[in-house]
Order: sequence, then C-alpha cells, then structure tokens
Amino acid sequence: MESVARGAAIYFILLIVLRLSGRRTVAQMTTFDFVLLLIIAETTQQALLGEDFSITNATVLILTLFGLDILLSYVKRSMPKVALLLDGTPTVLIAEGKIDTHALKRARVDLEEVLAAAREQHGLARLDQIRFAILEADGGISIVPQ
Amino acid sequence: MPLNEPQVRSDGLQVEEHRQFQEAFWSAERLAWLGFASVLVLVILGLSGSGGIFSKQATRFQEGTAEFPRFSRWEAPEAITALLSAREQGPKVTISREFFRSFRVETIHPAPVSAEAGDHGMTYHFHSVPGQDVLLTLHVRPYRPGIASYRVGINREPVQDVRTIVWP
Repeated sequence: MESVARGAAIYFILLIVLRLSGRRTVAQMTTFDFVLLLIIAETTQQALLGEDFSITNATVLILTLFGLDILLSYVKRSMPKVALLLDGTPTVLIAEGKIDTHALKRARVDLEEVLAAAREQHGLARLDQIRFAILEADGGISIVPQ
Repeated sequence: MPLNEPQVRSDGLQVEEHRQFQEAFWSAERLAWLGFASVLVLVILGLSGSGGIFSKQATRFQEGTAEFPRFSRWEAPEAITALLSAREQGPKVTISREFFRSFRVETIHPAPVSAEAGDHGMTYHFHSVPGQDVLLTLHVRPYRPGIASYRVGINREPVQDVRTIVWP
C-alpha cells in the first residue's frame, strides 16, 4: 500500500514540476540538464524505495508506474483537454518567414536555437530560408524551408 | 475529413496550435515558478524541517529547557535536545505515549539510568553530577507522517503540550 502511494505521489509530483518548468527544459539536453536529470533520478529513487530494497517493493513500484502511465494514456485519449494540459500543444514561432517574437520570448526560445534546428534538419544557412518554425509539444523545433 | 485531423491554416500549415491555451499556460508556468521560489524560501526558513530558524520550538520548564522539532520529515533523523537543571535525585523526563506512535527513539545521550512505562507515558531517569546540568539529546526518527501531538514533562512539573508536523 505504502509503495503504491509513494510511486503515485512521486509520479504526479514529477509530472507537475516537469510540465510547469517548461517544455524547453525537457527537450534541451545540455550538460547541465544531464546533471540535473541524474540528480533527480537519484533523489526520486530514494523517495520511491524508502528503506525497502526488496524485489517485491521494486516490482510493486514498477507496476504502479506503468499502471499510471497506461491509465493516463487512456484518460488522454478520451479527454482531449486533459491531453492538451499534460502534453501541451505546438507553437508556431515563424510563419511564412515572419518571426513571432512574443511566442519566442514566452517559450524561452532563441533565434540561435531555431537556426541550429534549420541547419540540422535541412542544411539551411539563413533565417530567411525558413518558412515555418514550430516548437513541438515535446520541446523539439521543426523547420519547414521556403 | 477524418476525425481529429488538424485544420489547414490560411498560411498553408496544418497544425492545431491552441494559442489561447498556450498563452494561459505560459502565464500559469510563470506563476508556478513564483510558487517554486516561495516553497524554497519557506524551506530555507525551516518550514519543511531539517534546519532553518522555524524548524525547532523551544519549551521552557521550571527545571530545564527543551527544543523539539516544529517540522520534521518522515523517516528522516531528528534530534530533541534538553538542558536539565542539576537535581539531587537526578533529572527525570516523561514523554507521553502519543510521541511513540509517531517517533522511534534511536539513541539517548547520555543513556538513562532507567526507563519505566507508566500511565503518563515513558519516564526516563538520568544520572547527574551534583551541581551540574544535564545536556540531553534524543535521536529520533518519525515513522508516520501527519501531526504528532504529545506531552513532555521534566521532573514533577506539569507536562507541556508539544506539536510536530511530520511531512511525508
């Protein structure tokens, strides 16, 4: 019982904190983010297991976490508003070559990041070669060239 | 048109943007960051236990003082300290039963001469050198989250109520 409660509490706390910290935090894996991820993993591991390192406890926790994930996937399928809240929505950063500075600022995305995505995805050299730039719900940037 | 297919915008991009929702969510994000900062300030002040100016509460008795955790954390080590005035028969500390429903006593320093369970709870009897106060430390560990209300008495004084919030 305690293991299920611990697992569910940590799952939802992580979900809420990661979602509210902004999607860029999740998508951009810098060295700092990698260190952050390792620390979070270690911290949550201790909170999840407590002092019980048994295989039974680990199994219960794994089942709890997978169970919650499956449950949430069904909830998201049947309730699109919940899906929108949990997964987010794409944001158009550049439309028809026109830069939406408000969206870039609010989403904490630099033009440098847009250009990097343009170079990586299409080998584009300049900003004016981008027709659309979309910040996807998973935090990645998609580029549609002119 | 198949179900859930995003509409094609006037500029030719087929994407469901929900910009109004996103604007509201960006504002919620910033409010949440303020919330994160507020929580951290409260933690630094000691409201989550484990250090900070508000994490402990001092209780004065006629024959000593004691410092109890005001906030504590589930399964985290905690210390209760007391300064017991010198007494010919050696000081006594009585802790009510309610305390032991939330806390596990791990070590007591100095070790009590005797411990007896009675109607009022557990009474610890300590040895003391005449004229020398006893500095007592109880290393405890909360094993149940919630609000722990218990009573503590030193020697024959009336017991005092103490409350500790144990965070999960």
